[in-house]
Amino acid sequence: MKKPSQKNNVRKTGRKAPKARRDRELFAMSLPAILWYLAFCYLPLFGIFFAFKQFTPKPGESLLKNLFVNSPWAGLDNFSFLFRSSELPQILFNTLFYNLIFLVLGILIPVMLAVVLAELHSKFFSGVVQMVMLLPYFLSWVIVGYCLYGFLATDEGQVNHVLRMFGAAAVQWYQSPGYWRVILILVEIWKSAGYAMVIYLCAITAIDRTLYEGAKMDGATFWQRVRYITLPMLRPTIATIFILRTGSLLASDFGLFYQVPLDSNSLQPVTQTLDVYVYKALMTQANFSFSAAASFLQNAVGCVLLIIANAVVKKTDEDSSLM
Amino acid sequence: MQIRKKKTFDPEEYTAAERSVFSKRTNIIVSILFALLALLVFLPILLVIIVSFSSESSVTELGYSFFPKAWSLESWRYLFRSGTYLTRAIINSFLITAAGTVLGLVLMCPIAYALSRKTFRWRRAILVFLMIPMLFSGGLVSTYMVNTQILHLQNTCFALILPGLCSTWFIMILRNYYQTAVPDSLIEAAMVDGGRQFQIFLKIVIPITTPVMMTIALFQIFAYWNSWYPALLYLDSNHTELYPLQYVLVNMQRSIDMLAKDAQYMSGAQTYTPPAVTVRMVLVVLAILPILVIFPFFQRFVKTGMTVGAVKE
Amino acid sequence: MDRLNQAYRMTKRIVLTALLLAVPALTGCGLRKGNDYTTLRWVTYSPSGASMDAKEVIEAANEISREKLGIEVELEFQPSDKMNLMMASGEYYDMVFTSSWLNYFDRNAEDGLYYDITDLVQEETPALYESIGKYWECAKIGGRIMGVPILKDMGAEEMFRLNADYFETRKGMEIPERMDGLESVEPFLKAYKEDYPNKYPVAMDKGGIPGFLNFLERIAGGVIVIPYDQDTPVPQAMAIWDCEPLMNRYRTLHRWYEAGYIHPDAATIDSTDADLSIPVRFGVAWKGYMGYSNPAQWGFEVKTSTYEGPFLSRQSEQGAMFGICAACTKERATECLKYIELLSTDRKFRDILAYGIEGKHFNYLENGTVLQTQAGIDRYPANLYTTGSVVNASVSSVSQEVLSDPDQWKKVFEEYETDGIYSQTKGFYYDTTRKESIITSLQAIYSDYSTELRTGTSDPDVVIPKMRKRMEAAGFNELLEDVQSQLNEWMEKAEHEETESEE
Repeated sequence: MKKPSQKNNVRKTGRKAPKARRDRELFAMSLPAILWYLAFCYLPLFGIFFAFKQFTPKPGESLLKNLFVNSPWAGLDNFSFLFRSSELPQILFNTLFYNLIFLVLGILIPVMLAVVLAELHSKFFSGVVQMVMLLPYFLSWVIVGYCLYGFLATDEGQVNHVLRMFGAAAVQWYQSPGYWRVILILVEIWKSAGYAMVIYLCAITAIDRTLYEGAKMDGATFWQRVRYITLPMLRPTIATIFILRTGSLLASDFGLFYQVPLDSNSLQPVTQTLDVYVYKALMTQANFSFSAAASFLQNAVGCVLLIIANAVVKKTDEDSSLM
Repeated sequence: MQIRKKKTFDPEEYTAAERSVFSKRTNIIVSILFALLALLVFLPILLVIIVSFSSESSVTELGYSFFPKAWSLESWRYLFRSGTYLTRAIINSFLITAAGTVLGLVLMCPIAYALSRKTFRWRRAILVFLMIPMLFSGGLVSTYMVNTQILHLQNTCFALILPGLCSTWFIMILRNYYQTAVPDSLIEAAMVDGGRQFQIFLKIVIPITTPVMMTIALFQIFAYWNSWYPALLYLDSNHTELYPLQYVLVNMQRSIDMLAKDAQYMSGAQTYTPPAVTVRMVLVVLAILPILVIFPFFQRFVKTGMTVGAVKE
Repeated sequence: MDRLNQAYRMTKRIVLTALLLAVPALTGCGLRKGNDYTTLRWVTYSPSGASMDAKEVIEAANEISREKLGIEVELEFQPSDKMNLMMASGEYYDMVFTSSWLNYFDRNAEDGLYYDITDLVQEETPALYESIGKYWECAKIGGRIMGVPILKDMGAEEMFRLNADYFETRKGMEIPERMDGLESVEPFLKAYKEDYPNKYPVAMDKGGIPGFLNFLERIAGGVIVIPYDQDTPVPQAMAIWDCEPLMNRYRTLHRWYEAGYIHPDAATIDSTDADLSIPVRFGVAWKGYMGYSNPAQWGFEVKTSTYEGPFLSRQSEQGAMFGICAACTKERATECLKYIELLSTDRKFRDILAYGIEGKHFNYLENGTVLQTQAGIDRYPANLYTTGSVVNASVSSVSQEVLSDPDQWKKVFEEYETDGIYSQTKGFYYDTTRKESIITSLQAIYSDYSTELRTGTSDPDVVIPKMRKRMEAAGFNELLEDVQSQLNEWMEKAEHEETESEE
C-alpha cells in the first residue's frame, strides 16, 4: 500500500474495478500529507505522557530512556495545581462565557459582512474593505495591547481626552473591571472578524453563479437570495467552524486575556481564563509536566465537546459534519 | 471535456453590478456603511503608523497620539543601521515563505480533494486521522525533542519550513470548497472518460478552485512571513545567517528592552536608550507592509462565479 | 496521460526529497571534534540572541584558548524560554549558565543535572578554586560542589539615582552618599511634586522598584519571606502579611501613589526609561559603580545614593554561575574547568569575551579601565555576567572624562566584609519537589495582586487580607510548615558541622 506504483495498478485493475482504483489513487494523493502528519504531529504525541510523569530528563541520554527510565510516574499529581484555586468556578465561567460569545458572534458577524460585501457593485472597493478588515489579524496581541493603552491610558489616552473635552471625568480604565467584558469582546471581533470574513467570501465564490442568475431572473430579493442560496451553500464552512470552535471551548486565546489587559491585577476577575491561570501559575517555574497536564485536560474535554458537536451537526445535516 | 474546459475560462459574462441584487441607491448606502466600518477598524492601525513616525520624546510626553508634537524618522533610521544583516534576513524570509507556501499547498490540496469525494473509502478514517492532532498535541517539549533529536532539524532552514506546512483547518476549508464548487457529476463524467484522479485534480479541479487556493496561500504567506518562534527554538546564535527577518526584528526589540532593563539593574552595561516605543511600532508597520503589497494581487484571483454551471444540467 | 503521470511522480518526488533532505541535515551539536583541540558547547543567556559581532569575538577568543589550552568553545546565546526547553528536553551541552533567577541552580543540581566538581576543581584547577574562596558555599548541594559561581557583585545594594542638577543646584537640597531606607527620599518627591503638580517624580513601571524586596530572603517565588535581622536563634520563615517591614514598604508605596508621586497607570506601564524628565530613579548596583554618571547621556548630572544593603545570601550569591553537564566525561569536565579558570585568571583573555576586540570594540585607557567604542556599544554590547568572571574583567569607564576606579572590585568585596548584611540561614535552600503543586497555585494567586502592590496602586491593608484568604485555601500553611521544618533541620545540621569543625 505504501508504494503504489501508479502504472502497474492502473494496468492490473484498470477497467475491472474503477472504484477500487479510484480509492487507491485518492489514497496516494493523501499520502504525502499523511506522512507529514505522522512526522510532525503524531511523533510528538508521546508528550501526553508528560502529564502523568515527573519528567526529569538527563542530558545526553536517549529520548526513550529519559521518558521511561529517568522519569517516574506521577499519577494525577500534575493535575492537582489546577484544582487548588478557590477561583476555579470563576475561571471556568470566564472561559466558557467568552468562548460561547465568540462562538456565536465569530460566526454571525463575519457571515453577515461577507454576504453583504459580496453584493457590492465595485469589486475594487470591496477589495479595499477586505484588506483593511484583515489587517488587525496580523498584529500581535502585544501590539494590540499597546494600541489599546494608547486609547485607554488614564492621563494621555484618547478616550479620556474626549471624555474631558465633554466635561466628563476621566476613567481609570485599567482599574475598572466593569467595562472589560465588552472591551475584550470588541477587541476580539475587531481582530478576527476580517479573517473569517475573507474565508466566507472565498466560500461564496464557490457558489454556482447560475443559481444567482436564475434567482435574479425570478425577481428574488436580497434576503431571499441569502436565505435560499448563500446560507445553504455556506453551511459546510459554517458547520466546520462551529464544530472546531466547540472543540476548543475550554481553550482561550492567552494573548487576548493576558496581554491586551496588560496583566492588570484589578481586571483579574473578568480576564482570568484557564490559559491565563496556567500561564501565571507556571510563569516563574517552568514545569513542563504541569503544563502538559493542563493542556491534556483541556484537550480531553475539547475532544468530547467536538464529538458531541459533530454528532449534532450530523443529525441536522449529514454533509456538513466533519467526520 | 473539451467543451467544459472552455467554459471554465469563460470571461465573466456579467459585471458585478449586473449580478448584484442591490439597487444603485442601496449600493451607495451599504458602501458608505462599509467605508465607515473600515475606517473604524483602521483607526488603531493608523495610530501605529503615526507613532512609528513620531519622535520618541513626543510619545513620552503625549502618549500614543494621532497628533504628535514632532515627527521623526529616528526609529526608522535606527532599524536600517544594521543594513547587510537585514538584507540577508529578508532574502531568507522570502525563500522560507515561498518554499513553505508552495510545499504546503502541494501537500494539502490533494488530500483535501481526496476528502471531498464522498464515496472515498478511507474518507472517514483519514478525517479522524487529521482531527486528532488538532485536538491533542504533544506540547512544546516533545515537539522540540522530535525535531531536534529524531528529525535533526536544528540549525537548518527545514526547521522553519517543515513544521508549518499543513493545517487541518486549512485542509477543511479546501475540502469544503471542493465539495461545493466541484460537482460530483463533473468528476464522474471525467472518470468515465478514463481520467485518473490526479489528472482530474490537476486539469479540472485546480483551475476552477483558484480562489480557495489563493486564499489559503495568502494566509500561509503571512503565517510564514511573520513567524519567528521556530527560529528562536531551532536556530542557535551561531547560525545567524539563517535567521528570518521577523526573528531579527524580534531580537532587535528584545535587545532594546534589555538595554532599558539594564538601566535599572546595572549589570555592567553602558547605558544607551534607543527609541524603544517608536521602534516597536516600526516593526509592526514592517510586519503588515507585505499585506498591503500582496493582497491586491491575490484579490484578482478571488472572484465570484468562477464555477462552471453547465455541467450540472 | 504520461505527462500527467510524470507530473504526479515529480511532485511526489519533490515532497519526499524535501522530507528526506531534512534528515541528513543532521549536525552534531557541539560534539564535533577538531584535530587537536576540543570544542565545548557553552550555552549562556541573552534575551536577544547573539550580538552582531559575536562570531568574530568568539573566534578571537578561541584562537587564544586553542593555543593555551587546546580548547575552543561554541558559545551560544539563548533566551530564557529556549534555555528552559533545552534543559527540559535533555539536550547535550558542556557548560550552561545557571543561577537563582534563571535556569534554577538548586533545582537542577538537586535533580542531578550538573557534574559534581568537588574533587576535580581542587585537583585540576587550584587557581580557580583559590579565586572563588568562600563563595563556593553557595554552589554546594549536600556538601558537594555542583557549579562554579561567577564572581560579580555578590550582594544586593539598592540606591536612588537623582537628578542632581535639579535637586542640588536648583532646589539647594543635599544628596548624601547614603540614605536610610526607601522613605528617606520623600522630601525630594515632595519638592518635585510642588514644582510640577501634573508630573510624577518616581520612575515606576509594572516591575516595581528594582530590588525593593532584596531586604528579605524569598522562598517559593516570594510568597514566603525570611527577614535578615531576626533575634530568634533559628530564623523564622513567614508569610508576606506577617512581615511588618514588608507591609510597611507596601504602605509607603501606596501612600506615594495616593499623593500623586507615582503614575496612575504604573501597574500597566512597561518602561519609563524614555522619559528623562523623571528625577527620581532606582538601581541595584555596587559601590563605585559609575554607569549612570555620564551627563552627556542624560543631559544632567546624576548622583546615586545607597539606601539599603548590601544584602548577602545564598540567593544573591547565586546571581550567575556555570553548571557543567552531568553527562560530561571526566576529561571534558576538566576541560570546562580549565576554560573557566582561564576566564577567571587571565584578564586580557577575559576582556575579549567581555568587551570584544581591542581597537575595534573597546580601548584600554591609561588608568587601566576600558572604554567601549561606538562600534562596541552597537555591535557587541557587553553583558559581563553571562560570559564569565566579572571581577576578572577590566572595569569599564563611562567616558574619557568620567573614569571608573580600576580597583573597584577589591573595594566592593572589602565592603561586603565590613558592611555586608548577611543572611542568618547559613546557605539554606528550600527543596521544592514535594510542594510544587502548592507553590504553583500560590504563584498564580500572588500574581493576581503583586503588580498593583509593588507599584503602590492598591492598598495593602485591603488587598493582602483577600490574597491571604485565597492563599490559605490553596494550602499556604502546609507550605509554610514545610519550609520552617526544612529550615530547622538545615540550621541544626549546619550548627552541628560548625561545632565539629571547631573541635
